[in-house]
Amino acid sequence: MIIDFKHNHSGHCESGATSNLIRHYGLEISEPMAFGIGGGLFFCYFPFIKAQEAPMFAFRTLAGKIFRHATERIGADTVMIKKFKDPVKAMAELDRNIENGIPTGVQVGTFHLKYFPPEYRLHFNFHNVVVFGRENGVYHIGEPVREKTQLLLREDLQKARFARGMFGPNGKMYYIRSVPKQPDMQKAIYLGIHEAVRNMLKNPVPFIGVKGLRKLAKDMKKWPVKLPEDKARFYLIQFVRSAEEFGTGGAAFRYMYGAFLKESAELLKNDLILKASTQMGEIATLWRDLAYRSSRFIKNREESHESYTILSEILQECAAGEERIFKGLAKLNA
Amino acid sequence: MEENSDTIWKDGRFGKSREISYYYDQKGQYDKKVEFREDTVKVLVEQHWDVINDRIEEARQKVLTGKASPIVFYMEKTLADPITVSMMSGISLWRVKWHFKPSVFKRLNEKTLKKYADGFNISVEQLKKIQ
Repeated sequence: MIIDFKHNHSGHCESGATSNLIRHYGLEISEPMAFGIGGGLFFCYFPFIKAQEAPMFAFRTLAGKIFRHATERIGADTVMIKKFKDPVKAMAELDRNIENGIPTGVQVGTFHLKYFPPEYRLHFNFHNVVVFGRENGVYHIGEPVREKTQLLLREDLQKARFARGMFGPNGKMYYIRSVPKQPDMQKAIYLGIHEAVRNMLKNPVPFIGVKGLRKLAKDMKKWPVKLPEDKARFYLIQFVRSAEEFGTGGAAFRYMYGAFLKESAELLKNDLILKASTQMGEIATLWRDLAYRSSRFIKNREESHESYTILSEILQECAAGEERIFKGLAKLNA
Repeated sequence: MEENSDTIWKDGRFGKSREISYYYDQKGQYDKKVEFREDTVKVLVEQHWDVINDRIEEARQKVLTGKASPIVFYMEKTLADPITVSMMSGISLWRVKWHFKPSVFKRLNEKTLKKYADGFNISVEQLKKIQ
C-alpha cells in the first residue's frame, strides 16, 4: 500500500518531516515555520564529550523535540512512541500504520541508509524520515533532504531504526491523528520564540546558548597553543563540518530562523519580530563568512595563531549579535 | 533500493542530488534556492576524509605488524570510537579496550567474536583477518 503523500524538499530533516506530516493533514505550514514554532534554534558545545576524538557541537535541540513542540503548539493530536525493545514489534507497528493510511515519521541512523553516497554514511543517529508506503518488503521513504522520494529494503530500514551507538534511535516513531483547521498561530509563534530565548540566553549551563558560543570562541583561540597542529586542525574541520554539512547547521539554521521570523512578522504584523528578522539575516551572513574563512584556511593549510584568533573574533561577534536579537525578542509578551 | 556507490565528487558535484538552502539578500528578503553543493563544503569533506583515511591506514599497519587487534582497524573503518564500538557490540568499554591487544584478541571465544562481528556488520572470518 502506498499512501498519497506529497513530498516537499526541505533543508533540515526533522523540521522538513514535521512540516510535510502537518501538510498531509491539510494545514499549510512551511518548513521554517515548523522549525521556529518547534523552538529548534539551539547551540551547545561540550568540550569534554568527544565524538570521533573532537569536541561535540550541536546546533539543534534533541531529536523529536521539534516535532513534539510544533504539533503541541498548534494543537494537533499526535502519538509518539519513544522506544521499542523488539525490532520485529517496531516494524509491525509501522506496517499497521501504513495499512491504515497514516504516514509515519521515524528516527533513523544514517549509517544504514543505502541511498546516501558512502561519504555521507556517518554514525549520525538523529536523522528523521517519513515512511509512507510499502510493497513486497520495499519501503517508500520521504527523505526530507532529497528532491525525490527514495526506496529502502526492509532489513536496512530495521537496521537504521535500531542503529546502535551514541543516542540510538531505538525505533522511535511518531504520527499525527488530527490537526485543527484554524490554529491560534500567534500563541504558537510566541511560545516557539520564547523557547528559543530560553535556550539561547537563560540556560544556566555554561556550554549552552550564547554562553556556549563565547566559551567556544575563547577555547578556539587556545587550540593552536594547547594542541598539536594536526589535532587543532581536525577540531576546526569538525567544527565547520558540524556547522555547514547536510545543508543545515550554524549558518543554515540562522537563515531558516530568520525566514521564520520574517514570515511570522508578516502574519502577525509585528515590528519587533520584523526587526529581529533583519538582524538575524545579518548574523547568518556572518556565520556563513565564518565557515568560508575557515574552509579557506583549511584548504590552503595556512592555519596560524592569527587565523584562529580571527575566527574566534568573528564568533564573538556572532555571540554578541545573537544576544542582542534574543534580548529584543524576550520583550514580546505572550 | 540498491546501494548508492556514487561518491560525492562525481562530476565535481555532490552526488546526484541537489539540496535546498535558505538565504538572505541585502534588501531584507528571505528566499530559498535548490542547487548542488558548493566547493567550500567539498573541501571540508575531502579534508575530513583525508584524516579518516590516514587513520584507517595507520590502524591497518598496526594490525599487520601485530601491534593492535583487528577490532582497532574495523573501529576506524566504521568511523567509530571505543564508546561507539562498546555500544554497537554490547560489550563494556574497558573490555573493548582490553581486546585491542592482539594477544588478548587471539584468546577470545566465538561468542564474543560474534558480538563484535554483528556490531560491525561483518562475518567472524572477516573480523579475524583484515583485507
